[in-house]
Amino acid sequence: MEQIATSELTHLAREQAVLDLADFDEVVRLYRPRVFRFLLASLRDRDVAENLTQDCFLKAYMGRAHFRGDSSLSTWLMKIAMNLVRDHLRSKRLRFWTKTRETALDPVDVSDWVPDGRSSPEAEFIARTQVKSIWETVNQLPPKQRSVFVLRFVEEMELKEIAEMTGMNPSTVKTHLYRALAAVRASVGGGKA
Amino acid sequence: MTKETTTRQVQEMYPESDAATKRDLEGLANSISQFRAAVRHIAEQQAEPASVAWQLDQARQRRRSAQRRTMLQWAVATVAATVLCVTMLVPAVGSYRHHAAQLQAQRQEQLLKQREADTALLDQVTSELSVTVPDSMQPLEELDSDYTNNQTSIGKTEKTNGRN
Repeated sequence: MEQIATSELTHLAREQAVLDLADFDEVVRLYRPRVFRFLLASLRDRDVAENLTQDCFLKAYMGRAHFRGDSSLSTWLMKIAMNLVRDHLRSKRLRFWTKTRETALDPVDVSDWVPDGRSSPEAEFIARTQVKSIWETVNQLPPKQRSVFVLRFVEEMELKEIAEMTGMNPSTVKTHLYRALAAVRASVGGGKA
Repeated sequence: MTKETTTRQVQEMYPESDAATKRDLEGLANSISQFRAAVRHIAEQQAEPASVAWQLDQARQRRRSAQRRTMLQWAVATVAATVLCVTMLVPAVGSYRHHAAQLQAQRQEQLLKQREADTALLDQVTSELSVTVPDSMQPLEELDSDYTNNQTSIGKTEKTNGRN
């Protein structure tokens, strides 16, 4: 349903997109999962992701008059989410004395669930290890590489769309993605970083 | 997104790869697909979100408390900076005053010494002037005193004549 809504909104005229914001409940219902998923994958903290998702929609709500429809609603919201991640990481660096949050996701939890039933326990173990390894590697990537990786491979966005969202040119996006992919590839034992 | 799509996207990043690398990339794409599925699964595990109004209200409250916290931090920082400045300035002012008093005392002492030295010099000059004229110079002194007496008497005579 989310994908259908996204594609529908992408094709809407600018005026229509602006009007859509008037029905804000619907906007939140449609885009909340994507925003939350991006924040969760970027920050690995449920509570922070939840709070920042709310902040994202509050910002969007308060700034809806400034939305001119130059980009799609989804791109605009994800851009706000990216800025929130950047601000959060910056403030986290400043609050270096703050102890690690207890709500931060344990990488083991992430690998607890692996899609499709595997034939052997060994194959399942390998799959879980790889997911855990990717999760940890993504967490250690520089912020830009991590955002580009998550947007491309978790949020399934096109390079052009990522470029528009991040304000980088497509070749820079590709470079970041290549580096992130190289790191992930090395972490799962498939090549040199 | 299917696993095949992920494979294609991964292989796009490595266009000049041989057969072995392609197999390796397929494995990587498979792992990434599983990673995506895991992240989506965790995200969907979240409890049903509350109403939009409640969420926006929560976000507003957080924003207000963050603003208050920032203001409080600035206030604390300002007070701390002021206290620091005062703590640094008080000894500096004390030290300056002490130094000024020392300088004043030194100046007075120097003045006193100067006065004493002047007095001593004047005493010395007076004593030297009052030394008895040596014998060899006695005739000159007598001549000088005679000359002075004469001058005095001439003056008196002129005055008398003038009156008359």
